[in-house]
Amino acid sequence: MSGGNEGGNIMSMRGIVNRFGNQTVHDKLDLDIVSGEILGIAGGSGSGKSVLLRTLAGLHQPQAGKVLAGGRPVASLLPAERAAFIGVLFQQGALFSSLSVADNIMLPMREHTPLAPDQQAALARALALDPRVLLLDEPTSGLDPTSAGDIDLLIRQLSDSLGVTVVVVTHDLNTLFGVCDRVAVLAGGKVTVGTPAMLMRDKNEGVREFLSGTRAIAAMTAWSDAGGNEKRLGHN
Amino acid sequence: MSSIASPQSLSSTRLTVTAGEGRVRLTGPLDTATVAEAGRARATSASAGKHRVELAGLTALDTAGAMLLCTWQDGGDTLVGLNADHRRLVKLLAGLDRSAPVAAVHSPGWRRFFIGVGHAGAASLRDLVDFIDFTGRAAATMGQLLLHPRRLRPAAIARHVTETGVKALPIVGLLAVMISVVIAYQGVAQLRPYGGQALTINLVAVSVLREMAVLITAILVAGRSGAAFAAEIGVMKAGEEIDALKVMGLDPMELLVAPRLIALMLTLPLLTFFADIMGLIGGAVISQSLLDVSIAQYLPRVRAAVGSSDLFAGLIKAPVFAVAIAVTGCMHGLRVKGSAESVGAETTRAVVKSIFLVIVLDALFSIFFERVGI
Repeated sequence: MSGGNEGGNIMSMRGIVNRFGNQTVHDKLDLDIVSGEILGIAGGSGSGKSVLLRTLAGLHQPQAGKVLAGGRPVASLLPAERAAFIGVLFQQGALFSSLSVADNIMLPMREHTPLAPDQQAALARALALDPRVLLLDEPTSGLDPTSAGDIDLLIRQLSDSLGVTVVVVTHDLNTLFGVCDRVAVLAGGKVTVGTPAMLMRDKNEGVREFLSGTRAIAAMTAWSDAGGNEKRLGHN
Repeated sequence: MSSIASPQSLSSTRLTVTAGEGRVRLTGPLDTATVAEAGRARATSASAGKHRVELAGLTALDTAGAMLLCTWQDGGDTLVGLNADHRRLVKLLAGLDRSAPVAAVHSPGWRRFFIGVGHAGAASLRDLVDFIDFTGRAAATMGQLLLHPRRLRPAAIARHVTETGVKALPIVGLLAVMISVVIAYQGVAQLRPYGGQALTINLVAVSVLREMAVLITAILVAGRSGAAFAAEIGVMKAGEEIDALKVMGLDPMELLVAPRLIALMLTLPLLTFFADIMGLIGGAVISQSLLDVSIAQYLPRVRAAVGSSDLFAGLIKAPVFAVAIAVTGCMHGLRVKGSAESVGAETTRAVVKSIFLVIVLDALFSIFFERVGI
């Protein structure tokens, strides 16, 4: 269920412990991210989804445990190596407010590649999409349903056409059931990972609680009606 | 029988409570305006125990009224005659947890005082450690930039020189003139009884060059630029822009802190020199009007009164104050957590702390200069 060690894991977390004050958010958590998959991270508010994403990105140092990216500890990667491996989309976009859109895209390039400006521009598109793992923090929050649907479609297309591994933290049940290959539900400091179909049959209390809300049931019904895993966004 | 006025209800403005043998009848509106009176009227006119509450005449019911009915129902009363809408509301409320929240336990005042002192002490210690840590990291970054000067950002440094230096010139100049006026008036008033008012020129020149110019400039820059540093970086922190920089493999220390630190280390000495000049000009003007000493007489007197060591004793402090102000401002900016409220709080803290640091450092400099005899 948690992937095992077939060598197909592009990133993995082992024994992650995160504590804030006397509240334990992650309690010896293990998670494997399979190369090329779209993994959804779900869970109630305050269950530590964003902290998990920040830990994956190397922005948050866990109290215990390690994060491996391509078999190497994320903490040991050089900043430039890490930037080429992991791309992050933050919840609020985190565009540099003092720069233009073009400068925002150019910034990482200008800093890491000693190229002429026109070469930089040519590389921009490629490099901006180059990271092998894309971490998305609530990409559809605050969007109208149409735009949220476009984002879902874009995630699917990125994964299909570029082979990017995507980890998406979301509350959006349509994203979870419509786009994700596997879903990791965070509850009680641990994750339960599985395909949507597996999770619907899961006995874990936290998972059942998360999937028992009226909206979850509606989303699961729609997903089953659409034929489950066979028929999904971008494949029709 | 009692009637209670309800100003809010349109249909019937009065609630009537009739109590009889084992029954209570309510007619009219039962809402926020009448609910307290209804409770009291029942308590005075009806006997204790379980009653049959007849509610067919109820014209309006809001949540407060329904809460009262729920409490009565909990006490064993039977509610009869409620219309469908009202019954739905009562049923909804009856299903909720209506127990009062547990009151927070407060420690006694004297204990809270000691707890407060303890927390403040721990926070100060943490602040001190943070400050030392941050200064160290800033110094390491500066060292790296010295080794790799191509990584310096001239554009960013130039922008901050403009913001912290050029734009501060008018206010710094004005304040320097004002300060020398203040010192001159005090000097004349104190020295005249001894016939030493001519020494006012010495007093103004020495105090402006050694202390006042650099102190006033540093305090002003701490308020202006220390706050700007904290707020600019704080807003970026709150918007996760700092995290975005890190995942792009860029170092916020090198990108944001170093240019500000370098710019302020350049501008504060220059501003101080400008304040020195303006202070002396202020001294000249005030000497003319108070002492009838012309410019031609004033200049040789100043030259006799002060030496270059007085000028350098003032100027040497400026870069040190600049480091304290820039480091404090940037550190508090990076300490912002999440909200806009936090940006405001950290900005305030940055300004208070950098002014405090400037004055403490100035006191240490005074002691040091005394010891080495400058």
